[in-house]
Amino acid sequence: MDRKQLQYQVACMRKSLFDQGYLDEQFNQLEDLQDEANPNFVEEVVTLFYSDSARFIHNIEQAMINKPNIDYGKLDDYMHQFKGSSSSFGAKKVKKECSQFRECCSAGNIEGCIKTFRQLKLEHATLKRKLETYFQLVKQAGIAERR
Amino acid sequence: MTLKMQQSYHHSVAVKVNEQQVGTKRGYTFIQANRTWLPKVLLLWVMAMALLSLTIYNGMDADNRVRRKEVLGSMCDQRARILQDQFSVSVNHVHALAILVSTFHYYKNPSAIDQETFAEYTARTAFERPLLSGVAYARRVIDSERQEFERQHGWTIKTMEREPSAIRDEYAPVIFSQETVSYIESLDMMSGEEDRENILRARATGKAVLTRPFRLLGSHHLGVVLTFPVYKSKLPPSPTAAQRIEATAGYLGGAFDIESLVENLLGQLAGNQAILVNVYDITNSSDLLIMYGHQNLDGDLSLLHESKLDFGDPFRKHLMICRYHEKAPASWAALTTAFLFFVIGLLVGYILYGAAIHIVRVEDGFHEMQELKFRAEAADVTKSQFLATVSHEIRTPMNGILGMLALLLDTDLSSTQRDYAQTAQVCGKALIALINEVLDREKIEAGKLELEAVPFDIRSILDDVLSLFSEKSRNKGIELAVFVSDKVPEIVVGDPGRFRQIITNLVGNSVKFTDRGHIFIKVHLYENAKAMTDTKVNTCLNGGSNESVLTSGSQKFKTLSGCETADDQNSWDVFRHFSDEDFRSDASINVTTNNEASEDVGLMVCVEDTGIGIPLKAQGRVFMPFVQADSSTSRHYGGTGIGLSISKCLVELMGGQIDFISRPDVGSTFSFTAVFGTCKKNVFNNMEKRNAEALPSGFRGLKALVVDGNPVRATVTRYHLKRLGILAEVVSSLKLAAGSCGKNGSLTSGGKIQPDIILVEKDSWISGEDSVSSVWQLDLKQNGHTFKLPKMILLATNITNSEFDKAKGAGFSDTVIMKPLRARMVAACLQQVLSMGKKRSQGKGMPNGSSFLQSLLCGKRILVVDDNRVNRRVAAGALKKFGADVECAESGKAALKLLQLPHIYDACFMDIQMPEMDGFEATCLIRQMESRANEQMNGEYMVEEGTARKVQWHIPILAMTADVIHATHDKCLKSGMDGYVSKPFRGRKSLSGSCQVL
Repeated sequence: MDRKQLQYQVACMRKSLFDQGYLDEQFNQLEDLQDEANPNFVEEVVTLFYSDSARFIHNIEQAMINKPNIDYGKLDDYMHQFKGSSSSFGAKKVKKECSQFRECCSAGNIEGCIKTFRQLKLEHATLKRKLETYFQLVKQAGIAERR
Repeated sequence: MTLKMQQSYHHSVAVKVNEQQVGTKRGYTFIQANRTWLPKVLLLWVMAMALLSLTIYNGMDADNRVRRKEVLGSMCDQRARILQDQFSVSVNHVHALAILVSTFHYYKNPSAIDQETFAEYTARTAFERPLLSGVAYARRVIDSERQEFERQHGWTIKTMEREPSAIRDEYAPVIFSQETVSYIESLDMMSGEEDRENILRARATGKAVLTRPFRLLGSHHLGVVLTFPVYKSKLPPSPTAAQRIEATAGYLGGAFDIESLVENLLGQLAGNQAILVNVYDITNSSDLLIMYGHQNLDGDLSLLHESKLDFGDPFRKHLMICRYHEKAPASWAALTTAFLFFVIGLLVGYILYGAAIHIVRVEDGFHEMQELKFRAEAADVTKSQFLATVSHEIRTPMNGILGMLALLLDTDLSSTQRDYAQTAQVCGKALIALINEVLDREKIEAGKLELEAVPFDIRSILDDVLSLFSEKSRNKGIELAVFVSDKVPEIVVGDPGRFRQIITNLVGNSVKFTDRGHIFIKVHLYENAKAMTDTKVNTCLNGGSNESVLTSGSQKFKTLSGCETADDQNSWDVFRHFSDEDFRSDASINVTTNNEASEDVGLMVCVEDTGIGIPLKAQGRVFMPFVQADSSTSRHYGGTGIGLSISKCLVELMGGQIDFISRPDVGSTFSFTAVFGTCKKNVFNNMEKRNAEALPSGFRGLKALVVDGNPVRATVTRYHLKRLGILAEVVSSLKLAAGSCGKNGSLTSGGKIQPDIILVEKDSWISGEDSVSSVWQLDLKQNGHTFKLPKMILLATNITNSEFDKAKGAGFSDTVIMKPLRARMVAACLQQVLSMGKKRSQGKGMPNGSSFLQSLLCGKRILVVDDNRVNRRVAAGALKKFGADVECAESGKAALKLLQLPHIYDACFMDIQMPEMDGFEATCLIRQMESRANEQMNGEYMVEEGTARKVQWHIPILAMTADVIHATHDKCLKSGMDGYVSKPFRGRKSLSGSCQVL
């Protein structure tokens, strides 16, 4: 594919990610931090985020299984971590779901928690898919440029 | 005033329309409402006036008549009294005569009186009886005595008709008579009807008795006869009528010629011509007998006065009637007065009528005008709406065009195509800008524009504006500077966008029209500016101000660039007041700003330039939209001329006024006032934290020396340095600078400050270079080994390569601070200069702002503590980006292990919320450890060296937290942290707020 076209596609995709509210300003900051010394910084962070988040999701699911004796404090802790990660990385929608989850937690609303968590997982997965495509494109563009 | 009102309240047109309608309804005054009645009212008025004057005339006339009547009465009474007096005097005399007769004729025997004696006596005493034509004495003769009597006197008794009397009971023949009436001698008085009656009455009463008036025998005048009884013997004290008759001896009579008598009398009195007098005998009330005056009445019959006359005879009653000879003359005074009154009334009525008519006309006109005005305003609103709609409709497709152009430019284009597309894009942008301006204006006019009220930093806004124009001004070689008085609060509440728009507009104009000299933006508190202007006026009056000083032939003004400016008010004298005041009273100002928190503050902003100025004839329409000074202006400089009118509207929305002073070929000074709110300190603090673009504070406490011959420019430099926390001193030349440094160099006095930086204005350097630089160098060498060399930095508007080389040769640093000065840029340059020695390797093409951070963090070992891997990675990445050597720890405990003494890290970033041991706890432990070590160590050192510097273990610890609320901040400080950065970690933005800690 043509280099220009690839670049254009990358730009469009990136813009749509922002426009649709998946990502926020923080992601720009991350990209700013990426330079020659640290060429794959963003991807590295994203990978880290996903390995981390998989763990969190697992933990949270475990914590929510043994109904009705749910330890809301623990849930909240997990979710705090999860939220920290997502805000560091700029996953806006996921972060929003996290906040909502924590609100439900503090209200002791298990139904809300479950509902939000389902939504959270959905957002999480969507973002992951989108970002995978995006990074693939970026890589292609990078290769094209080097050629 | 009206115009202004109109403009500022344009947006309330809709409301105004209602008001107007109400107003027109209410606007009809009483006069207006009753306009049809006006002529009728006038007629009524005239009639009322006529009536009134008639009344006045009547009143005055009646007055006259009363007076006339009184006069008549008094005159009449007077006459009556005199007549009565005269009459009674005469009666008395007759009485005396009667007594004389009785005494000398009857008591004497023989009689002492005969005819001759009587005649003589009466003739000689006639003067005493002027009213009596004559007196006579008749003797009482009883029929039985007739013979005897006739014989005795030798004549027979005759009647009034001079015939021998017939036989009667009694006779009264006249025996004595005055000569004037001698013809009645021997006539029997009893034969005449009146006389007989008289005699009978007289002898019965014993008093004087009068006849009714009749024609007297001799004179044929009207007269009355007075009769007095004469008694033979003395009467008893209270005689009866019979006794009297018995004792009667004779009768004395006299004829009163009333006519001549009254004539005579009246002749003696004043005013006898004016009145007519009639005297009547009214004994018989049904038959008035005239005694005097004409029987047929003439003269003024309307007014009569009657006076009673008492002639001493109770039987007879007399009356005097007086009247005016002529009718009362018309009273001219009354007539004139009444007429004048009427005329005046008429005039007054007419005047009032005229006024009312005028009022009605004016009001009609007013309503008409109001209607027209309303229609005009409605038209204006329609126009605005039309423009707004059209502009908006144009803007929408224009955005599409521009977007497509941008996309087009991203594609592969040949250079020509690219050129075309770029031109199209530039034109499109210009069009959008223009439409936006038009829209702005219309929005303002339609009152739809609402100002924001958010806290913002005026100084940074001004710096931004300056940076916008710095390129242009540098190319033109114009000095561009800003100065904000310290009294202006750091954060004000208002609309930063609109404020920037005004400033940008004014400065843009100035830059456009200025080719030499300077553009200077000044911001003061409005109250201060006013006070200072007053001071200035005073000094002017005292003759104390001389704005210009002559140096080497050419006039030099005390302004930023030495060029003349249009507004003398902003000259150096005033400016010095401001800046001195500012620098002197820092502390007090802080206090006052704290006190008057959340109050409004009026700012006065001046933009002064030395451009071409505005032609005098065009000055009146500067603020009118779409008007430029003249048509050639737009040819020369472009533009639509809408900017100033927008600025004016905006300024008025901000509660201020815009004004300007301009002199052609000298320059213009635009100044405007605006009212902003001030906000409380803590709000401002929060905002500062949020606004990560706050100025770097790493320069606090540095000292600088500014070398500049131009005091205004030096003040501006000092202002920017002060904002960075640098203490600045100003000297006017290099020589003085060298002198002051030299003094400091010798260790004699510690009073003066040793400057860390010396900032030299290019002009000062060039003018003083030859003579001073050698001395300068010498001084520096002398002191060089003992003291740190101050950095020398050149300040310049523009500089050529050769000059730059020369400057470097003279000992200046590589970095030249290019004007216009901005605090942030100055900071960056200073940073570059100050850190040059240590970290030259960093000279990569970094953006200005981060270079400072870069230098700060470069080579430092930093520990990042966070349990979240992603966070940790991001923070580490960001710090690495600035050249720091980063290590990570994933929990508080791990961090504690790493942070053992002696510290190998320069700083630590610590997450607060961590499992097991959170940030607060970890920090507390670290601090405890440090303080233990410090105590121990200081104890040892004290013993050994005494004066040695205190060594303090203290690793800067910064919290990383997502919530930046105040409580968290306090908690951070309490647990021994030095500051905090916000999460998510944002590199420069997060860090710059806390760099003073590092």
